[in-house]
Amino acid sequence: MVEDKKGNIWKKLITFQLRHKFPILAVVGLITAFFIYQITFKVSITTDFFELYPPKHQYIQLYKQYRSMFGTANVMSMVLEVKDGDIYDFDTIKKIDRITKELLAVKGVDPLQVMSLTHPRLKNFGVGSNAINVGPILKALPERPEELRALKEKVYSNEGIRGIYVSLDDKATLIYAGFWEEGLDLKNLFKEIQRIKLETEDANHKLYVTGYPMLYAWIASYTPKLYSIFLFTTLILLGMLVYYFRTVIGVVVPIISGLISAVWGLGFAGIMGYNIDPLILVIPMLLSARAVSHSVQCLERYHQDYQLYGDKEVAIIKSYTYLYKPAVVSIVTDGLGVLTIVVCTIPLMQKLGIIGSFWIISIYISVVLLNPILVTFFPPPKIKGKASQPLLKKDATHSEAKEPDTSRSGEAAYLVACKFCTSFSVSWKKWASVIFMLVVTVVGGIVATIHIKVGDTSAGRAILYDDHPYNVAARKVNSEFIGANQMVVVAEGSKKGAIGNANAMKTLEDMAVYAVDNISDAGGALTIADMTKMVFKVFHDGYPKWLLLPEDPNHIEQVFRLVGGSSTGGEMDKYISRDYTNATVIIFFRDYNNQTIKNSISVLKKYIEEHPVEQVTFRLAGGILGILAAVNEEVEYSYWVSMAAIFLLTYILCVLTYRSFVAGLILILPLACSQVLCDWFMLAMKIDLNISSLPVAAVGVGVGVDYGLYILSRLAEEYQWQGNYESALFTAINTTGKAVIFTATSLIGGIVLWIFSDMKFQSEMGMLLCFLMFFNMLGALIFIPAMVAVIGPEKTIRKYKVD
Amino acid sequence: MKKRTHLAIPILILTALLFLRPDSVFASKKGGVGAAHILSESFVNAKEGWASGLRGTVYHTTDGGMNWELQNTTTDTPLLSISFCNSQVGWVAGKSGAILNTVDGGNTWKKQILPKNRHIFALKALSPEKCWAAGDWGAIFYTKDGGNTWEDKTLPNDLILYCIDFQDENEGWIAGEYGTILHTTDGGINWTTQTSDTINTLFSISFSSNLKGVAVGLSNTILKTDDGGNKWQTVVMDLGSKQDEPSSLYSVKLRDNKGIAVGDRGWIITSTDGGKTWEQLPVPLNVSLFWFAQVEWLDDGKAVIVGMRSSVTFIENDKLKLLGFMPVVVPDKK
Repeated sequence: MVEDKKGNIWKKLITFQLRHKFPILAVVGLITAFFIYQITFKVSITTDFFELYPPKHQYIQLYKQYRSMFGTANVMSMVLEVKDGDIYDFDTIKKIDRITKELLAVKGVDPLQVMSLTHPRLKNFGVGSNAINVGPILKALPERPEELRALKEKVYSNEGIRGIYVSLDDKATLIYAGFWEEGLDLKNLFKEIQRIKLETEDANHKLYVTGYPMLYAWIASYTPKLYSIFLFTTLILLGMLVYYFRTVIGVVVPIISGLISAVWGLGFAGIMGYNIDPLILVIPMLLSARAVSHSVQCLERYHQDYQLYGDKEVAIIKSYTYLYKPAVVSIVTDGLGVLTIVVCTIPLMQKLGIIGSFWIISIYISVVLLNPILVTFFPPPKIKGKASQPLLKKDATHSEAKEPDTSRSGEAAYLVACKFCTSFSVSWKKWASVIFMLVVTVVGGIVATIHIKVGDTSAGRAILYDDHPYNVAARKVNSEFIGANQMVVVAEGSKKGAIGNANAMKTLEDMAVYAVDNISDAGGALTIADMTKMVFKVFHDGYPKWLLLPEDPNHIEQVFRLVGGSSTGGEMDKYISRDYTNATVIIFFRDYNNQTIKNSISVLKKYIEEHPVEQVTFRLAGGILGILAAVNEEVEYSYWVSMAAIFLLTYILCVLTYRSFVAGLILILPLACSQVLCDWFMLAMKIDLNISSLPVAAVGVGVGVDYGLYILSRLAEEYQWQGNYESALFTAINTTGKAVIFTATSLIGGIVLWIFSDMKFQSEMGMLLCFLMFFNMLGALIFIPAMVAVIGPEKTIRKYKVD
Repeated sequence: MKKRTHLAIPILILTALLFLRPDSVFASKKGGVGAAHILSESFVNAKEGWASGLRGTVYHTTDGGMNWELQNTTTDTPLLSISFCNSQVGWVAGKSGAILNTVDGGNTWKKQILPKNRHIFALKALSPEKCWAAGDWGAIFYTKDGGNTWEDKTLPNDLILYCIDFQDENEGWIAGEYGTILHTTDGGINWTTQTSDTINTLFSISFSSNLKGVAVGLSNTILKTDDGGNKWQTVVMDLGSKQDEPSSLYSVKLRDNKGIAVGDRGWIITSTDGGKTWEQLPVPLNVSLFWFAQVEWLDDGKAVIVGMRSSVTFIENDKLKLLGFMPVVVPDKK
């Protein structure tokens, strides 16, 4: 064994820890208690909408700046559908009225954004010389059949109700409710909507509910079910530990490590005032499972060294001295890797990056610092599966220790798996393995980069199953109505009254027409210019040829003054500001995906560039589609930057650890190959990148590097010890490789239950992580040894300092 | 702003319009919901005609309105009126004095200059050389050289003139706001005001001979004359339960004894006695959603109605057939 000063440092650290174990335990215990307090009182599993928006993105800044003007983008849509007949019956109208009133009472609702057929703001009008009848479409609930008939006629004779509030076949009606992001209580909303649904639905009526507030209310409703996934996951991990070690120490210590890391990670979130979003809960679960896996690696080595040396303290010092370096390198690499998520300016991701990073760093405490101490409190391990038998005699040689024990059930299978893995690092197979990996990484990487898409489906379809009531409702809204999905362009004047200008008004109108004509999914558009034309028409006996924009600024101003003076506060704000400085172009979409949004933005940018207007600047893009555009742009950028940063960082740390550029490459390439395979998996499963899949990929890379580091370190150690690569490889794969197989399978065990989640997204991410764990395991067990064999151990692992 | 009609209209009423989400204003050149409105049409025979609308659109049909092809006008100005005197020569005019002329059936449109930038609501092409135009601020313009020069015959009073009809090159009528009806018998050299029986705005006037004519307008106003307009009589229709919610009639055509008028809220009324009595044609509820801007009799006795969202409707043997939204064949962009 090579001894050097640095090597002594690890040994001194272990010795120091063991010598001061009680003070260390006391300090860690106190801090853990403090974190438990934080978790109890400060951590909540909830969604904060503003954490999903990248605050510095120009679209989000626009949305925040003008949110009070054109209303919240978080609009819920409820469709009340009748089975037999049409909506014009007493019972249905009563139901619409009751739903409307009940929505007005839901916490967080913006009363100005609640609209329905029975809401008094929905107006009926007629133009005549002697009398003009204007008032609510529905003045009072109809009690006679002729009143129902009158309502139907009003719906038909007034523009803008059919298709917006009533479906063209008269069998469904739409009720809108906007919710302020900060005032929304998702659990309460879900409860209220379920109550309304229960009270409304009967044999002839069905209520569909969709829209962002409802999506997140659904997600929040699944939180309790997640706890059962946690419980079963813990049980699976316990079972695997029992099977693998069959010693008390082998079960208790890793579980303590996982729990302490979880407490520290969650407690840290509490201190920072961060909430845990239910959508990314799979990540904390994975982080704790990784604490368990680190602990397993350490205990596996401790068991081996105890078998070798027969002395508990010697075994502790030997095993943890050896593991200190790869463990610290691995933890630092992982921690920094997860931290790279903070390049994403979406607050949820930044917070996850910070929490995740701390969580991983806490593994140093829970495993590297505590494990050797905890081990001292347990009796020495017995032979696996044969608890009464000591492991080995004290004077056993190293070569004896490396002999595989196949007496225990499962060991034979391990041996077969290990032999299978090592077979790829000899003869022509090593070349085949390396070439295969390079081809997959380079060619596959290029293909994946081109084809993988961000936000290719709507948020509802990405998160929930296609037949989920939310998605069924979304399809109902999109097929029967227009206007549920909006993108808003703001015309920002450089001085007061800038919109009261014929050019500005015409540009608003032209942009609306251009958008509808050139954006495939745009169902229509609305601006203050349309309003102005309608008022101008009413001025002129309602004659359709007067649907013209006034050109004289005085005329425009007079129309605006009428509008502003006679509307109740806030009702016109979504179209024009009260001082006529800013206005909006609202574009309605029937359906959307990321490509639609991108095209729309591109069409609008082109129009704005080609049509400059004096004193008015057009700014993109508000509304729910503007927010999605910002999030998607940010995710797309962050995914690739974050990936590049993780790989670069991992490479640098590996180069520093192994003092070899080639060794760095050997560790990075299998990771890249795994990532490419996962990208393919995403393509095959039609999983698109979104705000929540970004951290999954980032954490996945970190897991892979763990395996690589442990395998490469063991290879280096065995090679320097034995001087023969094939023999070193066999030992490494049979010892550390076995632990890698166990940790990979235990991590998969920690994730596999997510596949059965009620949420499609969590299920897909579960599957994705399982695949990633599996590919990373194969990368570490097959590609790394193969590359070392091809390049030559002398050039790769000779300089690695083994302690 | 110039004071128009209905000064008593409460501000609330105006604002009420704003609370609607009118899908009809989703201006677009696409068909269906979101299509631009068609405001005027002109047929030269049973097959060939043109229609104009908002966003500078002009459509051409050669099969009696079954199919329409978009022509290239190179303008997006609202075109409020169109009139052809034969299959080659015609004019289309609209907002702020925009006027275009074609001498090749609409293949090419050339801009002409009117003396004043008035909105032109009515055109009447009498021959390839002669054409009348009328609009707001009492605007009356006339050309006798194919539009090279337009004479300004604007009235001294502030009136909006909405319609023109000529029986021949000498005798014609122009009508508009406040029940105004002007009459000329000398080719427009002199215009005299006829006494109508109403102060309601008249949107359309039509004569089947030099004596027999009808005019329609706001609130179902229907006027009839049998003496060339010396005396106009109001025709009262029994609106039944809809008495309190009158609609406006925007276009009328009288041919022999057959009359047809169309207007707001899907109104189509017909007369078979020269306009003495009128009956409302029952329309499906979904058609009552529409307003109709203009109606034209074709030579084969069929009536073609155009209007909101590029809708095209036929009346044949007193039966209504909603063709749907103007089917458009867009030619290659020039």
